Amino acid sequence: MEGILLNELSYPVLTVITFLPLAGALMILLLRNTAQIKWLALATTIATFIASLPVYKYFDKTTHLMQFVETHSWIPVWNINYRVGIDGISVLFLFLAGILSILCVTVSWKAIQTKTKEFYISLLVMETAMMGIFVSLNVFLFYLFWELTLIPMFLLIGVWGGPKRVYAAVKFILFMLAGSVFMLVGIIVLYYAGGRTFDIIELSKISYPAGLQFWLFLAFFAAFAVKMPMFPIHTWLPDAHTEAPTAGSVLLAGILLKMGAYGFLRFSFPMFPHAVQMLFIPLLILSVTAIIYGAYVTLMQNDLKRLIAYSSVSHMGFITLGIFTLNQAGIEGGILQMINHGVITGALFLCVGMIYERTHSRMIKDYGGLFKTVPVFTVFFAIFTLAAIGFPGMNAFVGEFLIISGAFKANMVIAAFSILGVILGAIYMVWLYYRVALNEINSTTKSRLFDLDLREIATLVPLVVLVFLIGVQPNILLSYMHVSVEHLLEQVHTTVVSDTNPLYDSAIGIAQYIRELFVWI
Amino acid sequence: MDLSLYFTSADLAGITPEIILTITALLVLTLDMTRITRPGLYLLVAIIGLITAGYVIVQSGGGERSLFGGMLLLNKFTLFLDILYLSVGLATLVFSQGYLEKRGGETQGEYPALILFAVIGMMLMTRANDLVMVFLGLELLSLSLYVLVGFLRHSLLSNEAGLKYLLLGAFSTGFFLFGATLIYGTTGSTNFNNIASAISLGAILSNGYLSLGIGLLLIGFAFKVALVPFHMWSPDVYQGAPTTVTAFLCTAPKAAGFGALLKVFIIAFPVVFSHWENLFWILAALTMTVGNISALMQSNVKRMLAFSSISHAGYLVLGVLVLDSVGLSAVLFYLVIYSIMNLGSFAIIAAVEKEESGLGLEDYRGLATRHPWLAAAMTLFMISLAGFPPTAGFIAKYGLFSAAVANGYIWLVVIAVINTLVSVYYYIRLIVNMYMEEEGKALDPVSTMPARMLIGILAIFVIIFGVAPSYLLEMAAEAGNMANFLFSTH
Amino acid sequence: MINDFIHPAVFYLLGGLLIPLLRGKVKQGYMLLLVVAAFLAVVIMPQGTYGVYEFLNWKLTFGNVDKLSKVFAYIFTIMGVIGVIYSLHVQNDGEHLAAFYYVGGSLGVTFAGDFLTLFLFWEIMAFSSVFLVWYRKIPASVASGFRYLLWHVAGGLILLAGIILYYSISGDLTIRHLPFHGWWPGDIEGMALFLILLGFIFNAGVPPFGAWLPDAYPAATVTGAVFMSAYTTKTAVYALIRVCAGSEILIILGVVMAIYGVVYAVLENDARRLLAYHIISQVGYMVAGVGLGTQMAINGVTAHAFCHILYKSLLFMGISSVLYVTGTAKLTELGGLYKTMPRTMIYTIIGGLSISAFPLFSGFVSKSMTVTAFGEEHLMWAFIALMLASAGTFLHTGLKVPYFIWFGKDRGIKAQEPPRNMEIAMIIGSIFCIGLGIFYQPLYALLPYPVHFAPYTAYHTWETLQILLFTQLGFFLLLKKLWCENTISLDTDWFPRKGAKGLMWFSNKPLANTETNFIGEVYEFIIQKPIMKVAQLMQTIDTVIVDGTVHNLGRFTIAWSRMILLFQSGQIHHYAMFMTAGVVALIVMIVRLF
Repeated sequence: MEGILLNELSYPVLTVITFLPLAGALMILLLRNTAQIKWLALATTIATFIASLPVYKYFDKTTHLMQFVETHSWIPVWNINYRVGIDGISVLFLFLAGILSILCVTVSWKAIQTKTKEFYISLLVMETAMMGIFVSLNVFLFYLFWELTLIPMFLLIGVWGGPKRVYAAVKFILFMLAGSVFMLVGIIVLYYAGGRTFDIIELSKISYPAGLQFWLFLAFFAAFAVKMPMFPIHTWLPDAHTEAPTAGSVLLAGILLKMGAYGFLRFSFPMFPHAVQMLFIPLLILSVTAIIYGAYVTLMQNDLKRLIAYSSVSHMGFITLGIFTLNQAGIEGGILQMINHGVITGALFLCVGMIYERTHSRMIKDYGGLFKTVPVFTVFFAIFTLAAIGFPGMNAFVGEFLIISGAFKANMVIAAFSILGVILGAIYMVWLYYRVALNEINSTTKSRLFDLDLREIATLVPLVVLVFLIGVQPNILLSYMHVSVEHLLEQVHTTVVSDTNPLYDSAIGIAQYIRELFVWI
Repeated sequence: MDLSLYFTSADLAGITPEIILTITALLVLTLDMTRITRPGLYLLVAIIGLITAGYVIVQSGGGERSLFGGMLLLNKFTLFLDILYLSVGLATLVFSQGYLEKRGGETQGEYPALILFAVIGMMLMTRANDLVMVFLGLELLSLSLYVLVGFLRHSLLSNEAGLKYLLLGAFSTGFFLFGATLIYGTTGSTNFNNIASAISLGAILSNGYLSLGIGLLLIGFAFKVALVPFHMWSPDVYQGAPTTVTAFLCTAPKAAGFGALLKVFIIAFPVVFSHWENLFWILAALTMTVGNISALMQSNVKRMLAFSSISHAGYLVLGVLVLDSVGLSAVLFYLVIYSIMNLGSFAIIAAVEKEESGLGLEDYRGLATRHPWLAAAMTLFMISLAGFPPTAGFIAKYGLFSAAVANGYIWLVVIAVINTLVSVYYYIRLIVNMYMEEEGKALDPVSTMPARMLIGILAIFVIIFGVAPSYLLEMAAEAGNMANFLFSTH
Repeated sequence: MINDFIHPAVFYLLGGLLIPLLRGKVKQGYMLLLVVAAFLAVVIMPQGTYGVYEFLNWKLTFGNVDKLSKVFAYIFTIMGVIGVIYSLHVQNDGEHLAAFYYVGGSLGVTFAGDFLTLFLFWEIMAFSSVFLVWYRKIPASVASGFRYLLWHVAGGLILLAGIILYYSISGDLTIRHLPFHGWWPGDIEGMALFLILLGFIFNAGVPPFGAWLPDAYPAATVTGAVFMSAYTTKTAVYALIRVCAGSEILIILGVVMAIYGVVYAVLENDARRLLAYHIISQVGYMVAGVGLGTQMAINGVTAHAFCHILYKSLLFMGISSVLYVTGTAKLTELGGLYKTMPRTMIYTIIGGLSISAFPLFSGFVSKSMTVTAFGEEHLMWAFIALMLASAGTFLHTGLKVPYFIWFGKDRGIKAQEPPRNMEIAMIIGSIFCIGLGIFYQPLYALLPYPVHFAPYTAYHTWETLQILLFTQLGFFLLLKKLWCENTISLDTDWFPRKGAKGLMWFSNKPLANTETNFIGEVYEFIIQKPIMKVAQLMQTIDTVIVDGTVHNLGRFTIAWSRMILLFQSGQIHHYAMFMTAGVVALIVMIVRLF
């Protein structure tokens, strides 16, 4: 099998880290005692993370080939193999997912009182799904994991969420499906167009006719764009984030949003380069719209979680901007920024969750003067606020720098607008910090406030470390993706031999189809 | 006299299962006459009968066999479906124990006997290779169902349902018969193969009466499998019927209907089928859309699932539309999964249900806290019906969609997936009620131990066929090969 | 020799971290040790390039030492010593830390060899200095501190935009001389340079971008104001000299600044805001000089920055001590303090004379050089404008402030001399002011270019004295007119005050004190109102249009569902009817087919 490196480790590492959480969930299924359940969940997540460490150690940074690949026959009737593997683009997400899952368990330790068993099961199933998405080398498998994230997240939001949880949960799942069903059609068409195979590597080698590429791109775009979420299909995000329990918000912001961007890199770019090249200016415009629009709407929010949620819209706009610049700096910045955003926004949600546990209020006006009442918390909050602003020396700065410089290469005007986005971003974050941490102390909530305990500090510290580590030594991460991104760009810039206008062709196609349909009656 | 003029021992050997079932049914009725008031016993006997029949069928191995001078045609396809009918019947009987007492229907021997007769009818329908045989099987099935639907003689709803089913059923039977006669008139035979060869001569290919006959025949089937616009009866009937009967009614007979439909079109009308594509296209689109849209607003779980089963029939038409081995196997696979999911969910409904009530969505509130396992199983069935991976429902749907796309029905598939999206809304409404709404009034699901175990098994099947469907898929593929074989003969 | 270079910022940034751990005398001694060490580090450092690190594919240079950076490093570290002595008595460790990081940041900027490093320290300065305002811990200071931060973040990001744009054009991040010519960016590169320039002049306090300055400084803590008066603007001036020397647009801006500052100072009542306006005015000289860009001008600007830091901090220290002792800095509430605080009065007057460029005081040797540079370039209008500005300066720092605080009507305020450390700091400051005024050669020796300028020619001296004397005359004639009211300054009248009312930005903050309010309103009117208007619009779009579409889609489906269910009447004859309809439809199709 050319184009891949088989798993050299003594054990099937990717399979292990994918299904270990699921195994943990099954064991939890049999437990009754809440304490045992919690500890088992924690153990499982930590074990998963530890099991994943060899991957980063033995990862070969000098090749773009898929690594640690395992292949087993799964559904021979449809020529579907179970094949997993990672390259420089996906490896980092395993790390992120591993870390965040642990933190989600620890942060929910006290917060979740009802249906504890179901909660941790959903959490672990989520982890399996997330890991699976990033290791799948088979479209069918990918789609399986992709959809597998929905139900647990739906339960997380709907069962343990805030007052409007049901609305938010239903909205979430309907939006997600609205995207992914079209991807399903796209996948089936791809299966036949690519010679009846689901293997991502095989499918990436074929060059498809322009018209087909266009439609397939749209089909996949539907799913990815909703997940990201890109403007204007982002409205599920504020509701879901706001109503979800802390762990849910963290996973949403940390991983689920990244799945969309990852999908672009894994499918759209290698398989539909022509469509990408044709559409990249509109996509850039869409991204920058999301940046500015999101930032403006964020300014108006008076609910902590909702504010951070909308800021995610803006930040994800940056990520798409970076990805669609179609140049090295931009894409690397985009991927790096995905990790950064996962860390920072995850951390912010953790912070909010922690004070919410105490005051049971998400309204900004109920806070103020935390600087005096809960100094430790405020310090953490300050660090992550600065990181979100993109303070130099912290992780987001590097990402945004790369993205914007990539954007300047791609299109001056759009890049200029994105700067406006950065400024607005700084404004709303500083203003948030001002209203929450400074200002006058709000007597109503002051009584209920007490500072972070050891567990919570331990939850936040790893993220602080990441913020500064990535900020000072981004090469630690960038070195992983460098070669893969170069290869990706080669694939994107392969010119498709077809000067037909796909839009036109497809339109004709539909017209004929409908005609046939009605002529008959 | 020498019966061998009329049939050979081979013929008899072929219909051993039917014979066994008939004897069992009669046995149950006799037991009933002996006034042994042990309802469990009747069921037990019936179950034994079903199992033996199943054993015999599996032994026969499903080789290509034509019986009674081409009246019946046995092959892997029929074998596959036979097993399905038997298992559904078996499951129904298991669930029925205790349910009918709860609903105040005196369980006499009739109930199991009728189920058995229905099973025989279905087996004949799909084994038939002759319009007359199909009709006989259809009638045997329908008659038993009419009685079963109205089985709760104290419940007005049940009686009304029975009556409606009877009247409308008669309506459709008429069309079926009319269609059959027209076909006989144009082709000079009721035997599938002869019809096919007559048509393939081409002389009567453009004969309007033939098409009319096929159309009317189609209406008969459409009624049985509840395709729009011949679906009106099903919500009322499903809702009125005893829940266990509903479970039976919306699974096995649908399978039989599709089975017979496929067999007729594959063997008898392969040549003319191309004319009917667009009709099926429209039927499929209409059925799934109307079914799903109507289900959105239902607050009664049984009625909701009734509409959902209509939409599922719509998806199945995708497979019929394809009408090659792939489509065929997809349909068969889907039928199995569909039966599992519906049996499971209806069994749970039967458990939760009370006298004439306990069917509303709000009656499920707090089920997750009181009976987590029951709720979990229900959730599983719901998301499987909605077609989420990694449940069997997804694999089944994927099979159909994939087959349809392979034959270029992309836009129909797009319509189908949009429908799936719509359907998710009402499926998760149940989950929402079970998990996310605050406690409703006290619920005490009553279900017998075997029933609970069976629900568990079904739930496990939903998962297993979701992640490791290969085995079942291969069996379905084998059964689906009938299409290739027969197409090649023409 | 590499090991001779110790980055002075290290003492401030790393050494500062230990401050909270120490107590009492030990702490004070430690702080002094740090700042003196930093100063020595500058003294011993040889010229050259040090501290180069690889970061991604860029080279980060932390130690780029030449004459220019060194002279600024000198004054920054000297000021560090003075400022720390002045604030030794402060108990709040946070305030010390903020001050240390602030100074460290400015030193980092001074030695930065590439734009990324510069930007890093630039931001550190902004975010640490804001705490010097917030630690005043009165609502007004929190509010204006917040505005201060926003101004700087915006400025910083504009600078970043310029940097990135420049990088994407040239692929190079080294700081080099990149003047911006003309009035408006013509091409992409022009845009890059323009953005960088803009970013710098945000910090330089060029109006209207300098609105933060008179807003934040008076709100700062007693000692914080002393630090802030010294660093932010002068760091900007340094950056301008490095990068933008010779950008003509700066001449105009500078002159405008010089006048603007004076004009506002004239009717200002809060002594510290009055001084803040003077910073603007004085920095105006420097900006103009940078714009001129000749060797002499650069020398003058550097020297002026050097002296300015000293006398301005001296003035701030004086006034701040008054604030510290009496609790107010309003001229209308002060008076007759010469009895109780004579020594402080002397220091303040020394500072006042220096800023008014009185011969034999430090201001004279530097300002006259700058102004003369214009004279030599025959930019007479600028020359005269600057002269007038310095007259105005003398009018109220040299005369008005002393008059109202120390003499004027005695309001019988209980007061005494400030704590010893404050006084020592002021003494040092005074010594520098006079010392530099008389022995200016060492200063000239430090300047980046060779100096061919003698301050004490009869012409310069006479000319200056003339102006000063006339001003003095005018002051006593117009004393009644200049009697200042406890009012807010002119520029609130420029903007409709009602426009600011009811806006959400600070609706939760009672801005009772009109004196800190007016910048707030300028700011609300220019920056915040448009932003929030757009934000509200977007919010409406988001809820009504974007989300509304989704909801309506749902409603539509539901409605359709209800409609279809009408057919499901439960009446059997209806059902039969529909089935018949179906049959008919089918037959029609078949007939159409054949």
